[in-house]
Amino acid sequence: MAKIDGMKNDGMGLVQAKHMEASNYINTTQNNAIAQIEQTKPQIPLFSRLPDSMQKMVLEKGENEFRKDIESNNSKVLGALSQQLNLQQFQSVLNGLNPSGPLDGLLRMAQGNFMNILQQLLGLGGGGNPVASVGNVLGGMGGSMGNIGQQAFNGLTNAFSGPR
Amino acid sequence: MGAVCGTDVYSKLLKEYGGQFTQFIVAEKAKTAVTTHVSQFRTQLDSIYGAFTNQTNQQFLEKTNIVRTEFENAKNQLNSRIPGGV
Repeated sequence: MAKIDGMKNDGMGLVQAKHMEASNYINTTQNNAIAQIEQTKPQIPLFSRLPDSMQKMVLEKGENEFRKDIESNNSKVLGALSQQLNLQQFQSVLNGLNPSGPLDGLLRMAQGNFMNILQQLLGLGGGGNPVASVGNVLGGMGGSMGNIGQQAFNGLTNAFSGPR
Repeated sequence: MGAVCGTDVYSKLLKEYGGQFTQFIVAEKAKTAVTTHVSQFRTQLDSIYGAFTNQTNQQFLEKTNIVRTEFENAKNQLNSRIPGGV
């Protein structure tokens, strides 16, 4: 099952890569928003020199006094931010992902080939050697069935070529 | 004592910087709002990706089982028609 495992790893890697990409975008968006606020923020050197506990106290007092201004500004800032961080957009990226696409292809191929084998066995196909067909399937799958496929193929081959 | 000092400092800042101090407070609170908003957004997005990952894992499992079953069926069909079996 090495090939199928590889397909799964590739598929899950694709999801992880998109998740990482989204996470990086969120970081960048946040950093840009903070930088923009910092650019327009007046410099208050006295505040910067205050100890943390004092800064917190000043901010709390200011928050109470300028609540309306803060709410009005936050509404604008978060409105702009929401346009950049839109869950539906990220959802649409996910909807466009098909991590199991390669496995779907393998599945279609396998089903098609197995059906041919069965048809041959039932006398519905155009003849041919069933064992060779199995070999073709295994070969076509690039060894994706791993030990199971190989053992079966070996078993079938031995059955035909072994002592009678 | 700390509260008195805090009030004094606040009054001093307000008096000294006036409107700029107000802008400063508003900007500081905007930064907090941005950080909180992004944190909540990230949690929601992580949840969506987590669900998608689980769903994808399940799909891989189901499809892998289908391939395996298809192969086993074909193998059994072959074995049943081979003299002596495998």
